[in-house]
Amino acid sequence: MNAGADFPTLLEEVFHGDGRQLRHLLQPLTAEQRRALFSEFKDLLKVLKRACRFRADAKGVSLSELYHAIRDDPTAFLRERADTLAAQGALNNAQLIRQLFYTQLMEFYNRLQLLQAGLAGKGSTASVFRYSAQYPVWCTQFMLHAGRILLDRPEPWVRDTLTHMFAGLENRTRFTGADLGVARLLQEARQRHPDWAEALAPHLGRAMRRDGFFSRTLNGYDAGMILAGLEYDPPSGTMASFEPLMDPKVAESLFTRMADGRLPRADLIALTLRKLQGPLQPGVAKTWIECQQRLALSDTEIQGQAEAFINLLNAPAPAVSKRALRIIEKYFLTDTRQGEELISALGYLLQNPVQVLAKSSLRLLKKLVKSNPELTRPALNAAIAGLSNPHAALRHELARWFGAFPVSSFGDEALQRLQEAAIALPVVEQASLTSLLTVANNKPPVTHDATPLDYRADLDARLALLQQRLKEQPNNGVLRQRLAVLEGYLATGQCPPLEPAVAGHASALSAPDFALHETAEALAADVVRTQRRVFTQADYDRILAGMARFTLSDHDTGRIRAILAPLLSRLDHWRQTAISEAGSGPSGELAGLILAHAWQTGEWIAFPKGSRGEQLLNIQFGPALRRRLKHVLALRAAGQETLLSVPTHTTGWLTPEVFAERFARLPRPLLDADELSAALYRLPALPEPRAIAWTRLASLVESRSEALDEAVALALAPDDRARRSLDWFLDRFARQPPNEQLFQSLASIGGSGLVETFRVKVLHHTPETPENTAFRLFNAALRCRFGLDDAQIGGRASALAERLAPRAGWLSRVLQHPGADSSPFAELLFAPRPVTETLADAVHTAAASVSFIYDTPYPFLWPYLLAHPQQFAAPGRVADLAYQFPPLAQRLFEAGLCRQGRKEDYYRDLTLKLLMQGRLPQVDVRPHLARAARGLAVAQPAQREVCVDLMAQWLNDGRMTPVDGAITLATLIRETGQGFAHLNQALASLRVTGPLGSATVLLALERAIGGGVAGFPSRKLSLILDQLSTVLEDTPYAVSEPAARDVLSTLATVKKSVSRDKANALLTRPLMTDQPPAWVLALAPPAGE
Amino acid sequence: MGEQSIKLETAQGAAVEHKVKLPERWIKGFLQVQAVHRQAQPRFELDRLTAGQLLMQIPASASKTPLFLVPRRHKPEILHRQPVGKDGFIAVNDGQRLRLLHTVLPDLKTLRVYQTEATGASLWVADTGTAQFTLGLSGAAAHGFSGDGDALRQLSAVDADEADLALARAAVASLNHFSIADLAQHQDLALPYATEIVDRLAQQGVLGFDRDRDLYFYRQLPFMLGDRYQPDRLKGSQALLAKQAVDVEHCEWRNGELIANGWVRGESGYYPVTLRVDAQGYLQEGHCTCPWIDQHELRRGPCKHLLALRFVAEQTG
Repeated sequence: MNAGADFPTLLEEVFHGDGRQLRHLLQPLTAEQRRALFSEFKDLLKVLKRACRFRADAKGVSLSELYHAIRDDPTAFLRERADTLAAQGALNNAQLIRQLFYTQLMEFYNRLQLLQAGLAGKGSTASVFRYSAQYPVWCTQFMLHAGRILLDRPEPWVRDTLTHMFAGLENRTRFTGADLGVARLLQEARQRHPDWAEALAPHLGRAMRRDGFFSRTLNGYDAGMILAGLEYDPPSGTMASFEPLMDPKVAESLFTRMADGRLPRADLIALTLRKLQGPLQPGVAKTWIECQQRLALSDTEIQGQAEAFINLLNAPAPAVSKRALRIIEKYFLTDTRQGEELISALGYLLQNPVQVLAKSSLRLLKKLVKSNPELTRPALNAAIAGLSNPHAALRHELARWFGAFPVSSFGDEALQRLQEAAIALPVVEQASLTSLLTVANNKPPVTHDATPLDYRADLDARLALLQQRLKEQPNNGVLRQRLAVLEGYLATGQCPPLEPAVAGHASALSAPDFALHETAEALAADVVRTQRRVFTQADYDRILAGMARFTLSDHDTGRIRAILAPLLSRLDHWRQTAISEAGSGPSGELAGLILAHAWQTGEWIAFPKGSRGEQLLNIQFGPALRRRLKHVLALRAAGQETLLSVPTHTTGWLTPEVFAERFARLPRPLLDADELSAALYRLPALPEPRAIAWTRLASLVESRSEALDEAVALALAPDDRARRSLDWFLDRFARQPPNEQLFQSLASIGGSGLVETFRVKVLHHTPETPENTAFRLFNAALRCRFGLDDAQIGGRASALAERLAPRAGWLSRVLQHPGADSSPFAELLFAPRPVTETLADAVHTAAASVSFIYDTPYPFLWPYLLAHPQQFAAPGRVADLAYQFPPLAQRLFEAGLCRQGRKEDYYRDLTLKLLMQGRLPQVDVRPHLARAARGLAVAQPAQREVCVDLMAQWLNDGRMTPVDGAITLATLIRETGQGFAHLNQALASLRVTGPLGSATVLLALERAIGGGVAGFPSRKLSLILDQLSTVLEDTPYAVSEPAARDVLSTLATVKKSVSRDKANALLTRPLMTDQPPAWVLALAPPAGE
Repeated sequence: MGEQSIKLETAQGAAVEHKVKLPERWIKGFLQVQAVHRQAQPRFELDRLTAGQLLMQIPASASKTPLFLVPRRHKPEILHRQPVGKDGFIAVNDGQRLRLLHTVLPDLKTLRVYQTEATGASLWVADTGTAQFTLGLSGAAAHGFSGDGDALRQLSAVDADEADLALARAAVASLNHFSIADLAQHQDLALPYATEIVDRLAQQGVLGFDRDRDLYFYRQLPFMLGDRYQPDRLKGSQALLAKQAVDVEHCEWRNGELIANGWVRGESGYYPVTLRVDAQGYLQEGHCTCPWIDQHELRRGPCKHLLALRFVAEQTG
């Protein structure tokens, strides 16, 4: 026995030595000596490993203490002290880890494993490479050290154990660095045991990829290992993107070795051919192509690989096919020995969806036939498959080539196949094949038979239909305008101008459509539907109105209680204290529970302090909502069913007549100021209904003078009376200014302008005080009267608005900042301007830290905040805001446009919801057409489609005329360069929205082309022509714009261009002299469209 | 072809497909596949050129909205919205899945397209002349056919005789490919009853359905479902029936269609339920206020409450 390798020496080495010295001690041992030593260490190893197994609360022991305890008497230690001193976790517990002993522990545990690898039998040695997370992690190069110790062993089973270890390499390399050196280990194993070559061969490539190529000089590795490493195709995952050849130093080492004969050149050439045949990523394919180029194959070498290069023609990577085409053209095109295989491969390549490859293939086929006329028939035969290529230009060229051959060049079978393939071709492409097809089919191919359309009769029919529709809807101004245009065109042959429809609040004149629950059961079923649901303002309106109308005592409470039971059973859950799980449960559950409980008991639910319900109350059921629920309970107690602010229309409008009726009917004590504010925000700016409502309320209001009455007067009364109310409120605020949370929220730090304005003292907020209630009412009344300067009410409001001087004394006092200019704030509050990016930036800077609560009583301030792309709000909130204050849709839409124009929009869903407000008829879109249209060219399909929706909506309701739309789109088409494909997709979408969309796209394309196409990239021009052709396909029209026809005629004469064929096809459509503009016809679509 | 794998070798290389253990949910999905295929209606047959042009346009990235494929001859296009007033299109959710068909494009001769209207699931049969490759797409990529629940929409209260079922099970194994009429003739059964028998066997995992050839075929799924196997929602509905939790308020047969509404007392709620079953026994419309329908509507099949109401309505109506 090696004198040093006895028990005490090895024990000391395990505790205090290192892995290399341990190997040195173990190396000379014979199999018997190892067995004998393992029997001495066996139990001790078990105990020590157990001590290394993690247990958080174990009593710790130091390594030196443990060493001394074992060294003195190992047997006694195992018998008496092992269980106490070296219990599980004694060396690996939370306390020790905190004391930074982990590195020491790792090294100790690794030495234990190395000792086991050097002494144990076959089974126990294999377990060295198994790992459990309970044990310390492996050190760097652990596998190399353990493998070397194994390699030193004389036993015959070592080969199997090592092979097993290499096979499971992926599973054993979860720790950084543990696998370093595996390639070197494998190389050493091959050198020491050449007879193991076959067993180790499957693992060479993976080991080399794992760490062999980290040694960029490749020193120490033989050719077999290097080539195996290069050939290895890693599974998708961690190593997939690493390609050793991409490292220039590795490539350099490779070629140096090849130059000095250490790496056989033939093997490397064969390897490159094999690799190029595989499905390579573009970058990797490029690397291997460069490698092959650098190899500079001689003519003889290339000739010897003819079959491989022909196979490469149809390699999965297009770049490889491209290179193969070049080599084939240079070396094999005249070689008739490969003719048949080559023709077959080129024929297959003709079907390749990459156009440039298919075209090159056709060129080579032509060349081949020219130099070897005897191959004409098989070449034509193989090329027929190319007629199914998706690219029209290629098919067209191929068909023309076929047409140049006499029928006798094709066999019968080939003609039959040609016939079958040609059936699928467009007529224009069949033209070149006419002679061949006639022979094959004995009849000429089908041609289009276009019957000219009688436009006059068509127009008359459309006009009659439009007149009929106008009879049914006599108040429809849009229809009337369209009729005038059509009649004008019929009378004069010229198109009278079509004026865009004016946005306004007329939608509130339609029949009421806000549906309330019909039965108490339906109400109950709605309340319990809390899964995946956030209650909207409309939900609350419906439910609260239902609670006021249906009292449980009047109905079949048994079933209703059963419906509500699952929700009410969650009461205990929400009353429990659980801080960490505060967010648990379906989103609408707490709100549903509060409503169900209040409906059932008639009382507000109380949540103990610290309970889940109390924690989330402000988020799920804010103070304003709580006030409203209490108001509903009060109504119910008084036997009243009327909730003042519930709208009459789903869009949020409340007709003034209904409002007046409700206001007059409610007893004074049950008139709630906030409920009145909410109602005032909903009143449309329609003079007549408002006048009727004022007539109904005037006497009632004049008899009292309270905030409620003054607010109604300010909102609805004629100017003289309203001025009195305005003064009433201003005087009151001068005496006792409000301290709304709004002022406090807008307090900010640093900056200037708005920021300075909002630098205010922190105020004590008391929302229920009369001055604050009055201030909320005052704002609602102002917005009810002035709107957002929309719906033509701006002019009517000017006289009153002047009285709201920006330096109104009380407002400056409220802001509490001497010298501060309160006018920006006053403007936001009292004369909200259109939302612009500048304003959005200013408000965002001033109020970046503001967390506006959801039930803010000032909805009109939100758009300025939301317009900034970094501002987040739940997208559902947008619809709620427009529902709460319908004219606000205008500002929200403007906010969406601001966000759309910015790159750093992090909440696109919110932007989409804001833009969608533009659909509402009260939004004036005329000033924003160009900005809105820019959304058609964005990359995100969802955003593009929203913009298409808007355009289609505006075309249909007349807010955008087809001519205006076409002018906007034509400009966009001409200006859009990069990303035109997106715009093209949007044009396709707009085209299928209906006749008006289609006509607008047609007109826009004609105008865009008519402006000249010289600067258009060929791809863009091709897409435009395709789009134009598709628009015309569904219609009887031809391109009618003279400028566009001129441009197309020029295009049709350009040589060798894809656009030439497309322009020709467009010009073949006959232009009738009496063809009316498509947009005029689209104004009166025939029945069924 | 071995016990554990299939190997295919060509001059250019070899490919091996190993047998893998599938999750039970996947296998149960095959129960739904046949149900979905049966409801699929033929939509288009495209020549290779048009099919090639169409499939090459499929975007690689996933889209939140469905793709509307307009297979117009020579000018097929893909839209991101439904064309107004036209029916020459097919809507596909997560259409990027169709890019799988690119592999067979060079050999494609005809592409036949079928779709199940109710779930949006579609079948794409790529015919190369010598072989047919069928790609079945579930209603959405987020769930497989097991989530479509289409088989449940055909379940009715009509019971099949156990002896007839056993005989039919033996018969279908020998018939291999057959239509319902073939089975009816073979077993001397009335056509509606034969349909019911086929439904039952299909639900037990014994039959598949080849939509392209319109034939059933015998196949055993790799687990024994047995006669007593029932999907969870069906078990749930049976439990509701046992508890007499269904209260039918209105039920009528109109032109062969069953229309019913009522209340079902579930384990965690009391739900109003309405339904309409067409003359072919397929649940065309159904509404329930339970969370399942609230979340999925009928896209993933009926809930247990709808099933329970249907069974009671069929027996009382």
